[in-house]
Order: sequence, then structure tokens, then C-alpha cells
Amino acid sequence: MYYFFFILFIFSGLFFGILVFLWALKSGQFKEQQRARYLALEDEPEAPNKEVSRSSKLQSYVLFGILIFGLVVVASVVVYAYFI
Amino acid sequence: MSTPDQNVKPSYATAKGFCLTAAFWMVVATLYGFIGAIEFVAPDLLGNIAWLVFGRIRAVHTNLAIFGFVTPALLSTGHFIVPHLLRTHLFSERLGVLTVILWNIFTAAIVITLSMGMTQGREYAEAIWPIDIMVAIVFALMFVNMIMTIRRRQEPILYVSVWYITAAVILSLIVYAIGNVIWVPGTGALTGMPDAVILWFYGHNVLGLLLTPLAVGIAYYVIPSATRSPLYSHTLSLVGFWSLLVLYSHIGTHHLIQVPAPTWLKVVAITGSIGMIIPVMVVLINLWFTAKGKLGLIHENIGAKFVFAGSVIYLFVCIQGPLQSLPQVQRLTHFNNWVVAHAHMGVLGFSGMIGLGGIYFMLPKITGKPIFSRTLADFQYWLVLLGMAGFMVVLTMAGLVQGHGWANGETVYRMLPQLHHYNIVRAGLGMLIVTGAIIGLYNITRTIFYKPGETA
Repeated sequence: MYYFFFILFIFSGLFFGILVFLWALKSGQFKEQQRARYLALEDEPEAPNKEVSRSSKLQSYVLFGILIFGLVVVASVVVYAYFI
Repeated sequence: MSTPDQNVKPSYATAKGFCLTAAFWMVVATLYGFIGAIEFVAPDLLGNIAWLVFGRIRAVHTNLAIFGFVTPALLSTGHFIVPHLLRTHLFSERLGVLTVILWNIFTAAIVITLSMGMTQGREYAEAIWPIDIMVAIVFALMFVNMIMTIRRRQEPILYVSVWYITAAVILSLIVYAIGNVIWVPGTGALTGMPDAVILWFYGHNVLGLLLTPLAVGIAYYVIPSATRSPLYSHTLSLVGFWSLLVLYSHIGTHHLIQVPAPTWLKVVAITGSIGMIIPVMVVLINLWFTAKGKLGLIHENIGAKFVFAGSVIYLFVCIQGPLQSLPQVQRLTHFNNWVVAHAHMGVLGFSGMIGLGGIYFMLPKITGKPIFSRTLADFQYWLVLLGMAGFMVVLTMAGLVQGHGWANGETVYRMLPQLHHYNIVRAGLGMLIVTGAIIGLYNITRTIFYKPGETA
């Protein structure tokens, strides 16, 4: 019986989600998408990029180094779990 | 409907309040984590002081990290950018300040009750019933404030950040109330398997429908604003938002792959987990194409630098997460330190970094003064980033050692000596994060309260 309520709960979530989506559609939330791109910018004109300093570059390498190390570990474990 | 006077500068009291809340509780939360890490190295160090035993320390640490530090940090920026993007003021700063005060009361109550051993014993849902009710009320009040702000908007289009942040507030209310089974005050739990299912519906959605949408919403504001370039695609961002809602809500059962949960639910959970790669890639493609070629501007602003790092870690966590939901992978990675590494990357690395970044990005705008010390903020960035990356390495290694021990049928106590040196490094790295939190508290407090003209 419990799972019946859980399924009901899942579908009620979908139902209310669809209601909000329809409101968004009706109130024109999916129109003017070109203008929407600029909403975060208010009063801030497009600026030329700043020179990237060596230290900034180095810091980004460290950040992406961490990312790549992590992804390699995950990939290895997946390969190990399924193929070895 | 009255429209606010655009010439009157709002007080931003709510945003500042949540800001100080987050900065303060970050110190306490990381300190608790640090004590817990020390207990792994030297279990007898603190003797048998009841409120300092690991079982209580751990629950206080996780609750404070989520509800004390990261959520208020994100809500702080959230209360600034929602009105800002809608070209209006927050509906009620008074109501906002009330939510800040109530938030601090229940957070303190969580620390006190859990330290006294008053717990419902369900992960992340340990708080007792009266606190549960208070949390639900605070989220409801916050939702009223958000929805009324939206109703008074001057800008008809809801920018994607507004969608994410408002959704996070209302969904957290629902997830919290249902996940904590607030209609059963005594235990806050159902019985048997259904309780596990509902607990992990909650446990995962605390990340998925509270921290993730708040953090993503803030990143969608900070990155375009800092790089002064329009968002790569707003339509794409909405695709990401709606697919997150559909895919993320019911993947919690991937925590229950190895127990007798219904198979159909496991299938839903794993499918949804793998499907999560779609909204995640949508967010990252959008943010990174917006920032493309603008690294200089990102690094010029310390807030944007934090947020960008958070987005990079988001990619890592959200590739790791779906792959972890695969049953064969879980045999090695579940119920051990691997998951602890994953959780730290998600809460501190992704949403915590974006929370801090949002604060540093917002503070100059709402106080009209630059950050008190850019150097200290940069120092905090590196302490947190290195502490956390170190955590990932050490705990992942420890997790794989444990996982193999389990797979080979080793008894637990024979594995413990092998974990010892990992735990020592872990405690050392924890010190970096605590130091980062203390520096952050000092820097944020001084930014809000210092008088112009003072220097660090």
C-alpha cells in the first residue's frame, strides 16, 4: 500500500510541475529569449577581456588538473568494476 | 499591487544576515568536522565526553555544513539576485530578517539537541520534530517572500536564476516536510523499507533540490555578470532547469541498490542518475561558453573565481555521481570513504565554493565597498580548494582500500590499521579548511562592518 502512495506522490509532482510549466508557457516565459540573455548584465556593457596573468593561468591549470585527476580515478574504477 | 520606488536603495538586511549566518556557522561546522577527523586518528583523545563522541559530532557536522553554512550562503546571494533580476525590491526585508533569525535559532537548536543525544537517527534528518516544524515554517515564509517579490516584478521575464532559486525554496519545503515524516512526531520515521526509501528521497534531494538549484542559479548570475557577456543561451538554460526537475526528484533510491528496495524504483533511480548528465552538461556548456576567452575577468573578481572553481568541481561531482549509481561500481565504492569524498566535493567543493563566491561577488554591490581584503579571500580560496582536493584524493584512496577489503571478505578491524595514515592526512587537510573558514568569517564581517578608509 505504501508504494501506491509513493507512486501517487511521484505523479503529483509531475502534475504540479506540468501546471507550472503551462503557466510559464502562457505567460510568455519562453519568448524574448535573446533579451533574456542580457538580464544579468544591467548597466554593465560588454567589456574587453583583461590580460590573463601568468599566475591566473597557473591557477587554472591546477584547478583543471584536480578535475582531470578526479575523472581519471573515476574512469579507472568503472573500467575495473565492469571489465577486470 | 504597489510597486517599490526604484530610487530608494534597499537595506539588503536579509542578504547581509544570511551572509553573516553562513560565515559564522562555517567555522563551527568545519571545526566539528575537524574534531571528528581527529577522533578517527586518536579515538581516545577526548575520552568519553558525551557531547563529543563521534556519533554526535558527525551528525552535528553534516547538519551544520548543510543548514548552517552552505544553504544560508546560497540564500544570502539568492535574496539579493532575485529582486535584482526582477528589477524590484525584496517583498519584505522584515520578513526576510525574521527568516534569518529563525534560521539561526533552529540551527543552534540542532547543535544543542544533537549534542545532547536527542536525535531521530536518520541521516541528515536527525533533528527532532519541533525543529523540523520550525525548518518547514522558515522555508514557507521564505517562499512567501520570494513569490511576492516575483508578483511585484518590473521585468516580465523570469531569468533562469529566478527559476532555480524559487524552485529550490518551495521544493525544499516539500522535500523536508515529507522526508522528515513530520506527520509522525515521535520518531519522524515510517517503518521498514518504506522509511529507507523516503529517507533517501530526502537525503539526496537535500543536495539535488536545495543546494544544486541554488548554486546553479547563482552561477548563472555571477558568470555573465562578472565576464560582462550575455548568457550563451537562455533557452538552453531553461532546458536544463526543467530536465533537472524531471530527472533529479526521484533518484534517491540509488543509495539503496544493495538492499531490498523495489526493483522498479531502483531502475527509476539509476536511470535518473545517469540522465542527470544532461542538465549538468547543459549548465556547464552554457556557463563555460559564456565565460569563454574571459578568464582574465573571472580572475579579476574573487567572487567569480570561487564560482568558476565551483562549476569545475560540479562537473567532476556530477560525472562521478551517476557512475557511482551503477551497481557494479557501488560494490567497491558504497558504504566507505569514497562516498565521504564525493559528499565533500558536492557540498563544499561545488555548492560551498559557489556559496562563498556568491557572497564575495554580492558584498561590494550591496555594501558599496570593496571586499575588505582581496588577499585574504584569495588565501581562503586556496585553503579551501587544496584542503578539499586533498580530501578527495585521500578519502578516495581510503575508500578503495575499504571497498577491496570488503570485496575480499576481510573483517573490518583488520582493515582499520590500513586506513590510519589516510586519516592522519585527512585531519591535517581539515585544518586547512577550518583556517579558511575562520579567515572567511573575519573577511566577511569586516567587509560588512568596516568603515571606508580602513585597510587590511
